[in-house]
Amino acid sequence: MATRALPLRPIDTARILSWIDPKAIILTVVVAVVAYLALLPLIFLIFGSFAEGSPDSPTGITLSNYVRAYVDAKTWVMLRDSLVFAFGSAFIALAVGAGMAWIVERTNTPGRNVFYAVALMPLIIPGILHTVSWILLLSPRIGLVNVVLKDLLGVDRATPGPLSVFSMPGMMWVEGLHLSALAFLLIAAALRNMDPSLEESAATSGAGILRTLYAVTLRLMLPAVLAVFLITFVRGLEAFEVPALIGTHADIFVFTWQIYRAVQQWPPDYALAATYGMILMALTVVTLVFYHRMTARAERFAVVTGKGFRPRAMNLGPYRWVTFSFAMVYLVLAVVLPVLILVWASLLPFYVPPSLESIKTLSFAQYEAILGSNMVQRAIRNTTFLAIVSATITMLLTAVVAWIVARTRLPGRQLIDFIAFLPIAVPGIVIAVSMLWFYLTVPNPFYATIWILVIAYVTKYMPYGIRTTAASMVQIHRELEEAAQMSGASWLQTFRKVVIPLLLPAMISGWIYVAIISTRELSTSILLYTSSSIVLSIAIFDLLENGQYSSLCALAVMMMVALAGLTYLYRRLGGRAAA
Amino acid sequence: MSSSVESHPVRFRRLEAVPPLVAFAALVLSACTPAAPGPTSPPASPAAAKSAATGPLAGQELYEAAKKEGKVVWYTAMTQTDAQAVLNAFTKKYPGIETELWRASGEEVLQRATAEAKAGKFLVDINSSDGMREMIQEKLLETYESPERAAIPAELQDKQGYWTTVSLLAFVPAYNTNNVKAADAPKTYADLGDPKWKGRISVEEDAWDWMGALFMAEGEQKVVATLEKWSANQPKRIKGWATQVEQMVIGEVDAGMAHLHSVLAQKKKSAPVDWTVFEPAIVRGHNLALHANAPHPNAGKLLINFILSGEGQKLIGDRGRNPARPGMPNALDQLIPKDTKVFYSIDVSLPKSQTELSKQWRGIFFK
Repeated sequence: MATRALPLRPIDTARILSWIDPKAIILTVVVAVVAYLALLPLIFLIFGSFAEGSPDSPTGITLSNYVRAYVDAKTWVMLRDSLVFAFGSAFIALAVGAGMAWIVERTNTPGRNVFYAVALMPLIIPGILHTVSWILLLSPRIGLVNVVLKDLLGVDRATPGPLSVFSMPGMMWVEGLHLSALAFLLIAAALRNMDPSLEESAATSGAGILRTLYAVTLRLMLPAVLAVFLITFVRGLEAFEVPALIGTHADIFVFTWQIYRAVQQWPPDYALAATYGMILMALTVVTLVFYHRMTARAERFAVVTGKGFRPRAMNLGPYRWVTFSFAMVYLVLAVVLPVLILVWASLLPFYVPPSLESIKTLSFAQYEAILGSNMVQRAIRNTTFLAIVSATITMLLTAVVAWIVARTRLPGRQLIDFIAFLPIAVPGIVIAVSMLWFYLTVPNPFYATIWILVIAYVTKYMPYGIRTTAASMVQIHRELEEAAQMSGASWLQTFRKVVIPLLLPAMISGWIYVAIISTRELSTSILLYTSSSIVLSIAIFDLLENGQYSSLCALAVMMMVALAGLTYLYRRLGGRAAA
Repeated sequence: MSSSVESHPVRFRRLEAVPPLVAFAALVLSACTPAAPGPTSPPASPAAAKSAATGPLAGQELYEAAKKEGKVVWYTAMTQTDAQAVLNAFTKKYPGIETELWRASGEEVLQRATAEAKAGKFLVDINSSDGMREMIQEKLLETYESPERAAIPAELQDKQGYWTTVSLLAFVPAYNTNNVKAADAPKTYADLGDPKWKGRISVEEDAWDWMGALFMAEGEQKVVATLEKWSANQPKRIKGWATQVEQMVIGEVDAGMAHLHSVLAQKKKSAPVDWTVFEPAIVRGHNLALHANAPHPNAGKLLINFILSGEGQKLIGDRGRNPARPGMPNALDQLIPKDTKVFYSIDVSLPKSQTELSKQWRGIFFK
């Protein structure tokens, strides 16, 4: 064939721009942003823990921070208390969550579909509200539960009641109950995916319920159960609200609280905060390494094919009413009591335990007052803005990262996957301290604006985003993209018109999830916010410090109603599978 | 067969990427209006320097300049509701100026303002709390001779011109009336050390200012001995003086030191709480100052003038606080019995620094 001369074209911008490869730009930018978000603050945290002086004027490198922490007896007490608290919370969360999961997934307890929805409800209650409600329930002097017990036992109301929330068991109970919803979710998923053939052979061989449970189910579930224990243990280590609001009154000071204090006191001790942060992070990283191993082992027992092999529910006979009562007790403790006490407190000028006379003083005055507060209005605007923006940026970033990991042969793509997951090992307050070190040391336009919160939220929620998108990416057939490219589509077109639409359900469900959990965020925001970037959870914390229980409860009720609505949306769009 | 790829305008399609990206960027940037970030450099300094050079603005001129700035930011240790009420009245009188309030303890206000200033972010205009000495030392404040200062007694003003007292903070013992009969109420500082109060009292988490003043009034050794006895009663350590009263009202604790105005505000709501006096009663000041490098200095000055004016002080008195300006409702001298021994500790010269006093307090109560 004779060569054909190309027709002459005038130089047009399109031709020049065609040399810019959107794929290369986007991939580079995304990888750079992810690495920046996950790594740079961590590097500065390490630097901060070895630094002498403060972020704006570091004077040298030293080991003295670690030495100081090591020789201080307080550090060891803190270590012991943090570990005990995390262990106890994880234990309670697991016991309650696993029990509920088994009841809902594997037995014929009546109403178990309702219980499934109910067991997820604590996830929408922000940690701070949950903590406040249990203070109002279990405070030794005025807690509702104690008041009722004292009346039943005929004891004078002024004496301290039998159950005190201001103690290590009290703290473990509150945190454990709050984490039980997470434990429930994870174990229910594991139970659902379990290979049923072994249980069925046990049943056909004549084993009873308990025997099957013990010899087969528990053994199969052991890696998954241990994995869930470890993840709730990590959550217990990272917990902030319970130690801040309850622990301080019980003389129990854990790492997260001491880190916060080190930064908030005068003069602030950023180096000590960084050092404590490193120690705490060492604990979480070690735990997560074990968690990773357990999860890998647990997956060996999962079903590879599909829903056709769903395990059958066990027939408990008359004992199903026992499990029904257990589930009802859980419903009351985890959802009904906390919500009711908050609603009750929100309708009073000042809190009193429920009684006939106090019913006369009920009014909506607190709601009016709270909606009229400038600070609350600002907090609502900021929380909404942050939820939308951080969820969007997170899902877009992680969609691209998921694509890189699943579709390319780029060297280091596993590394990028790992880096995107890294923030999950870093407790929220440690993320905040590391960001303080970075953004107070290096000149930048973000510190003390709302954008530093956006950066913090995206950093923190990247792992959740990538979990959703990566899982979904695997399920999308490569052939569809290949077909598009065969028809002449560019990489960007393929990504926009084939990949994203297929990934969209996962992205939307991930988006809603990140938006919801970002409204509950406290431990990172609390060190990075300013009066103009205040968010709802901090507004609540603020009201608590002002002693305004009633206003706080009004805000709490409104927040929970909004979150319940969003969660309902999530369940409709994402469904159980996205858990 | 041959030229379909070439004549197909594939190259144009790559431009398609640009509009969505630009649109997204525009969306994100436009959505940043809810939280208008503060200036990264202090643009107000030239204006402040100019006003210092040409003489202070006053009256209508000040209002016009403040309106141009459009916003005022106030960090305060005053309770949220009281401060908000003041701001609402300010907005009514001077429309066109957006107000922003941040309420935190004196220590946190100090910590936050310092950190922001060191990072080159100047976000706050005026500040009212009880930690003026450290702020002056950190060069956070600017002197301002408000015209309203003339009406405030001289002992309630900083000699150098940095701060002026807004309201007086009288520290009195308060108690829950359901659980403590008036006859059993504590009479002296030493009374709260009695074992019968074990587990029933509260102290503020960091009452360095009150303790420092008490050192001056009664002598350090005597006070520390008394406080150690209080500590033996395992008091609940509560953050915030107003919160202490709230905790008494709900019955979480039975007695403790509190600000008189907080108790009176609660009594207005028919809350079960009452107060008495320990001698010598300590009175400190809730002091107001203008920040150096304030982003909205004229608005700040206008707000300071308002708070110290007759209208502002009357509002503060109506809210139950004890205004500094004479002739206002709820004046402190009308509430405290005439022959009570009162120790005024308004100026900032406490015997030790805030850090030392804080440390000492924690040493006693956080064993």
